[in-house]
Amino acid sequence: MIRLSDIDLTLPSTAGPVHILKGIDLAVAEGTSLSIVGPSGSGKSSLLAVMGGIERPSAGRVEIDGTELSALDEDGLARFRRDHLGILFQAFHLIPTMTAAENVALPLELAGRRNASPAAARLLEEVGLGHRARHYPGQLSGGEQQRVALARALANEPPVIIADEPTGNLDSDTGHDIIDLLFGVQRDRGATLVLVTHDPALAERCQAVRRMVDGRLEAPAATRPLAVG
Amino acid sequence: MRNLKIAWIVARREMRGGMRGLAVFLACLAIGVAAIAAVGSVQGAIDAALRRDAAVLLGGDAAIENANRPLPAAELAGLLPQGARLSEAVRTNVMVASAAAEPDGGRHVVAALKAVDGAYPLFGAVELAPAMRLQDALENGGAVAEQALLTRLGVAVGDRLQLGEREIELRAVLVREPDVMAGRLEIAPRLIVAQDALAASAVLQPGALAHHLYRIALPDGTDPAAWVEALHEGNPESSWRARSRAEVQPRIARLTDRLATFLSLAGLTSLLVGGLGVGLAVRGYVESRIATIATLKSLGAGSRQVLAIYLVQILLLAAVGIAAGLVAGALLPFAIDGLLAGLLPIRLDHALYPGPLLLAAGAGFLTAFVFALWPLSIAREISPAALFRDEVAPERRLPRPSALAAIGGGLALLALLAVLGVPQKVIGMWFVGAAVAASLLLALLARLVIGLLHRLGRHGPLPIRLAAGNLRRPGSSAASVLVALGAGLAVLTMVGLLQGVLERELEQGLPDRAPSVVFIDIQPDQWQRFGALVEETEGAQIAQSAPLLRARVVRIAGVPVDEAAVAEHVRWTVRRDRGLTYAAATPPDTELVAGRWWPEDYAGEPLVSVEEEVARGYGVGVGDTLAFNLLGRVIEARIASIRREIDWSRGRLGFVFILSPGVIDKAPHTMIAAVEAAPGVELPLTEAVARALPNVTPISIGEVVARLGEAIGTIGLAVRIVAAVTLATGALVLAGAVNVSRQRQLYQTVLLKVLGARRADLLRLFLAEYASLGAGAALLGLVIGGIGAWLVVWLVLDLDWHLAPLPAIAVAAGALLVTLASGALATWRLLRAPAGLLLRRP
Repeated sequence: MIRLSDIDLTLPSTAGPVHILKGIDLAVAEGTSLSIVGPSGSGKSSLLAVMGGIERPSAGRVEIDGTELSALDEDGLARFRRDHLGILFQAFHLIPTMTAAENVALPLELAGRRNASPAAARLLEEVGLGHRARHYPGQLSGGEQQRVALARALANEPPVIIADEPTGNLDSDTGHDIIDLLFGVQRDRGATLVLVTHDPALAERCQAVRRMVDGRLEAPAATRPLAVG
Repeated sequence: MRNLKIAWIVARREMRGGMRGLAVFLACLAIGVAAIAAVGSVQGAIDAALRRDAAVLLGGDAAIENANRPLPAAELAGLLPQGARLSEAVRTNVMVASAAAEPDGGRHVVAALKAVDGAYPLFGAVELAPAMRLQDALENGGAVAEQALLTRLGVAVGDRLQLGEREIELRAVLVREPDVMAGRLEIAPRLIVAQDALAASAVLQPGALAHHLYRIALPDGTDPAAWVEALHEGNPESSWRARSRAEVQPRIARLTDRLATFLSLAGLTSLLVGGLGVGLAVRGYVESRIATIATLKSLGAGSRQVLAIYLVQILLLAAVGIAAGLVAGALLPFAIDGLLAGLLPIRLDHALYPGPLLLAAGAGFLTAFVFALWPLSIAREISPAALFRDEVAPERRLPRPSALAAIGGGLALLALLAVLGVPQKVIGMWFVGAAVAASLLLALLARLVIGLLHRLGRHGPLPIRLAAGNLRRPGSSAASVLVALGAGLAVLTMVGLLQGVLERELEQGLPDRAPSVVFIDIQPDQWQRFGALVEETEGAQIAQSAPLLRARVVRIAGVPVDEAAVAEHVRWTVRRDRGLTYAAATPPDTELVAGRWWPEDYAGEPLVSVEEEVARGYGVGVGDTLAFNLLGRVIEARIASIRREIDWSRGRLGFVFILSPGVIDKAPHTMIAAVEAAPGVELPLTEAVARALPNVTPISIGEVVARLGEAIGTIGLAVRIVAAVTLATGALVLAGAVNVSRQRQLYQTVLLKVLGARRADLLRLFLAEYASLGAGAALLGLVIGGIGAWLVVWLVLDLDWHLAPLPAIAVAAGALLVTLASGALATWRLLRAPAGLLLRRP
């Protein structure tokens, strides 16, 4: 369960403070999927960052699975992300000096898991990249990189996955493959998924769609039954 | 522990991507560490050689030295233990001339004579060319001499020399003699004869300045130090002093330690300046890793883990730089062995000396840690939000208090190393104080200069305005560059200005006021003849003369001198015998600060007038007593007056102790006379004196000054080399700064090109930026180096301040050259970047 109440986010800039999120209230039920759509600069990614404990809101509460994020310090947030959140970025953000397997193993290692390497190998098999385990990000295509990133996001079996334009840097076919994979694991594991996208078709595959304009969430449309992909 | 393991795993993978841009980091550490390691290794080799050859250098396990007269045989026999071997020698300065020259004799030259017995040398060996045994060379009026004496006299091996009343035959060239205590300023070339030859020459008149040496090989099992101590305890008021071989190393070390301390600290300075380069390089490195750090954080890495991951990388890389520095520093002494052999009287055994290497490595690691921790502590705070947006305003934050405490702790350890790691701790402490003051001053002035340049440039033409803006934009490394270059330039300025002051003091100060030649060992019955000789020589006159005796202070205010508290800076007055004089009337230029001068016809108990600084160092005043051993007789004299400090720089004969007449004027003594001679008169005068009074020895002030100048020049060169190393490190820091700002400059260059700027415009922009940096650094260097030099001249050297403009101009020009050259190099690469680059940027 993700619950955001009265979230405000103001960031400093050289031209003065910028008011990015304005009074956001949002609840996402456990095991459901939600997409956030809206024009550029409307604050979608910032909302995702607040949800992931990456950005601290200027006001309001963020609660995930019963944990109040504002009560955590920086390192507490890092631990929380490690154990509860899988994050997928538009630009993949794989670490270029590490192989695919090492990138996937990283969250496990950060969590001090013993069997990081075999677990990473299994995850790569799961996303269909078992044969690319020893390749570096620079040797992989965009789609492959995002699959590695997905495997990495799933490594700690997080109950919540957040994805920021996961197909934004990919062609549509490759994007489809990734999305199928994403929804597949979300369903199989019963995880909660929040994704930000420009793509209406992708948004429609989520159980709920919320539109953001100028830092505010518009009223919710009716919740629909699970779309079958 | 787990954190460290993860840090190690991640760091290892991170480093696969190469650590580009960290060459400056490596070089900064390697140079500083190499400098410290090299100085320490040479010092280690000297120390080891001194310990190994202590007996050889001293000439025995122990040595007794008596001034002016030989020890009576009975007294000597009572001192030596059963089974000891003894070698006797006399050291004095003499005049020699070629005996083969025209009837009235050839040119006379001063030689440092050593007359030895058949047992010499007890330890070590004399090296002669052609190779032969010394005793064979010396028998039947033979002599050996340094090549310099042969050259000055224009003679060769086989020629005969006139020594006083005797002719001696030069049988070989003296290549190396074993018993040479380093550090004494030898003005005359060495000459060795047998003792009977010296006796026959009759140059050694009563009271003449001579040292009688008794070198002793102690029986096995005798501890030389303990034996000497017992000897002194049993004879507290003797005229002689004994030394054991255990004192050789500390004695010479007093001289070498000071130089080693200065050079080590100069090495540390260059390491600290390099620290700024380390900090810049680390900052550049972590800036290139922002995305990785943010990703690590988004995956759940805590900021402590992030810090550990990068600290591990930096320290690993530091280990590489330090190892390179250690190898270079340890090998350098081997490489410059030829140079060192020419400067030192002993053969060095170069080896690996772990102590100095450990010290250098420790200083290197601490520097890397302290200077890297600041940027790393800021990097650990990079938010994972960086992945979602460009940092809105990457405001520069201070590291956390814990990191600040760690940096402070590291600096404190470095300070501790600077004090404990050098031979002379007091200088180390001064260095720490000076370094802190200089750093604060540099940082403050750097900010002021940047502010000033910014203000000046704000209203100029476009390139100047842009350059001024670059100096003060957020994240600018101008302050680091100014501090680093400024520190190097300050050291160079200080050395240059100090050398200027010293050289002026030597070259201009002395000859104006000082006599040109001092004659010693004039017998009282020769005084009239000597006076006449000077009078007969046109352009020469006696400026000052005094009777001279050698005596040793044996009691201070009733306390035996070995037990008395004598301040370190006047300890030289009690270490061995000193020259003293007596006078009825107040000598000219005398200023009393306490007490009164005795009446001219005074004939009561012995009185003494003491120089102010020495009296203070002894802790005595008017009314206290000092006891002197004067040629075997102990005389207790009451202090009647204290005189103002002797101004040695005035070139007058100065005596620490002046006794009242009446008691000691009957003791055998000689006269000393300072003679002012017009140019060209010195040589004929010394020749005339040498022929008429062969036992009288002249000391040419010009020659002393020349030797002093050479010594200052040699030390100045060593210091200048180290200062240049510091400046080179400063230039490296500049290179590091260029590296860090490369992306920014590239972006700016391309952007300006897109907007229509020509290459000439860009060149002007960058040249303005680098020239203002150079000018700022020169200003800092001149101001701080000038203050430093002035303080040293004022507080330490106590000389008149003199601003030598040449070093200052050279420093300013050097600074501009270095910055403009680096700037031109960086700009050249930037100008070639095509405008399209910007468009391809993500």
